[in-house]
Amino acid sequence: MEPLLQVSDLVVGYGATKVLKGVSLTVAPGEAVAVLGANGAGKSTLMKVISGLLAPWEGTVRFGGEDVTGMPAEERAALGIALAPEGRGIFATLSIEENLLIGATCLRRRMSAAERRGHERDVLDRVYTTFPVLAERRTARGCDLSGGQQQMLAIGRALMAAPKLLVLDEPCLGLAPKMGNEVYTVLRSLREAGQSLIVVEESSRRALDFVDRACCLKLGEKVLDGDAAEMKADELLIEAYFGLKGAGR
Amino acid sequence: MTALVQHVLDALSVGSTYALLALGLTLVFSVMNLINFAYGLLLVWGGYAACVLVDAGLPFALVVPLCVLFVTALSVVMGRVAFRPFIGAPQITLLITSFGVLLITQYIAILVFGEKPRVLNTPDFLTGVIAAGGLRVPVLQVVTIASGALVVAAFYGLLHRTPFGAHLRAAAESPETARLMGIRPDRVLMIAFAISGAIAGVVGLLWFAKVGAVTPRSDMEPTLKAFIAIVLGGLGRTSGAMLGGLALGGIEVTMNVVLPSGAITYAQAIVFAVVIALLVLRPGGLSGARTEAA
Ligand SMILES: Nc1ncnc2c1ncn2[C@@H]1O[C@H](COP(=O)(O)OP(=O)(O)OP(=O)(O)O)[C@@H](O)[C@H]1O
Ligand SMILES: [Mg+2]
Repeated sequence: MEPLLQVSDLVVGYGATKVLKGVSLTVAPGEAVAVLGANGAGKSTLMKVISGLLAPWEGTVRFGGEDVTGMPAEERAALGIALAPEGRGIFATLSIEENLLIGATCLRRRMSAAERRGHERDVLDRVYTTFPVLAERRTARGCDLSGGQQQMLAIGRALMAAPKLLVLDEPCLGLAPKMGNEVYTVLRSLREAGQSLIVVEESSRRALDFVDRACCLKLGEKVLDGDAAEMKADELLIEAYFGLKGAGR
Repeated sequence: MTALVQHVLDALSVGSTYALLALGLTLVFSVMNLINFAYGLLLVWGGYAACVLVDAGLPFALVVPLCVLFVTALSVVMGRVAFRPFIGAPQITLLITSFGVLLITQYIAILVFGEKPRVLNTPDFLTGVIAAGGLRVPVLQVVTIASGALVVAAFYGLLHRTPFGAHLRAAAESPETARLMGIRPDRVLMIAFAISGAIAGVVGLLWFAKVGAVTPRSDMEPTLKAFIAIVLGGLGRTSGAMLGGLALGGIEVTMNVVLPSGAITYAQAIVFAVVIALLVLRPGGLSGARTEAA
């Protein structure tokens, strides 16, 4: 089967500093992949390239069989890549509902106005059912939410675009463990519904339980890529070797 | 008492002109970090358009919408040609570009209309005065305050009740995240230039109806007032811009009232001093925060 996402030999950095040194990654349709790595390994940089916010120096990005290497982020969103960025990226001055509706902007190019309104209503209902707290506070401003609620909003907003590939950059960053578990409960149900996704984590434990496949980045290079279950058997070794903080999270 | 009401009306009408100026400038700044020195030229071109149309014998009721439309279009063209290619460029590039646009549009105005002031003949009713209960209120003042209120209401309706408005606010807050949502930065910029141009069209008419004549260098004063209002209100916030504009109007009118006649010549300098003093006390401006289109 043709991969949904195929990133090949990516080289990119900021200014003169090279951050990724030839990274490749594939995601098959319906697959859940974890990208693991310590602080500063280049995970977020890789996600920026996948979403189109950052243009690679070398290498290609293919999505759904199409070469999207030179395509800007706003067009990739329309193709079906939804990134919930690190730090959540909630619009603080917009209301919860405005934040959610804005997530469906990219559908303008895929659907007629009537179709889109129907879709917006459906997904909005679904997001509100999944995250009742968002429904309760739909007129509150983004900045008035707690970290956990903001993360729910970020995931909900990404889902508004009906993405083919959902990309989550450290969805549990800064959340209490209980809240993090709730996030993963939601991700699990999405995955069971067949959603293809990439999840970025520093901690390996929770992610490895959840995904099909995982790869590890270290200092801008991919040092491991394999079946999550097999990796889990070596987890202690991985953590010792790559310095991932897994314990206790 | 009537004198006080009179001063308040003066302050409101001067202030609402400044507020609109500041609003138009801030809007573009909030989505592009662009300080557009050429903004005043939009007013000038709107003024000239009004002169030409009035002299051609068009009824004023038609001149107004045509002028606003013309300045809106001019603003969009300016944004499209001069600024859109520089989305994401360093601020210094944008500053230089906007100076370039200022010079070019000013020199074209000089070539076409010459340096001499061109009189704007407004209809008689605009120069009239309404006398009521001891007050004598110029019609233009009423029109100015009403237009100000109307434009602000329309602006907030647009910003808070339409999807475009949400896109503008999102892009002002975080251009990158907005792009992740599929919001096109170039389109946001064009919408900002269009709204900002429409506002410039309205203010241009009010401004030159009051001043009575247009010159190619008439942009200086409104641009300057807009900048003071923006800095006074807090850079990058539309609410701050309006607050700053109204405050500046208030300060100016108060100065004219309280200063002894010998000091009136220095009124502008004293206004500056007051503004600087305010900024020393509140470095973030009256609204005290940074970029946000809300
Ligand atoms: N905008 C930027 N400009 C310059 N350097 C950057 C920028 N963003 C990231 N870097 C550098 O690139 C390297 C990789 O950063 P990146 O954010 O991709 O790491 P990460 O794996 O996501 O780390 P974290 O776990 O902290 O999120 C780091 O050394 C970082 O300092
Ligand atoms: Mg990161």
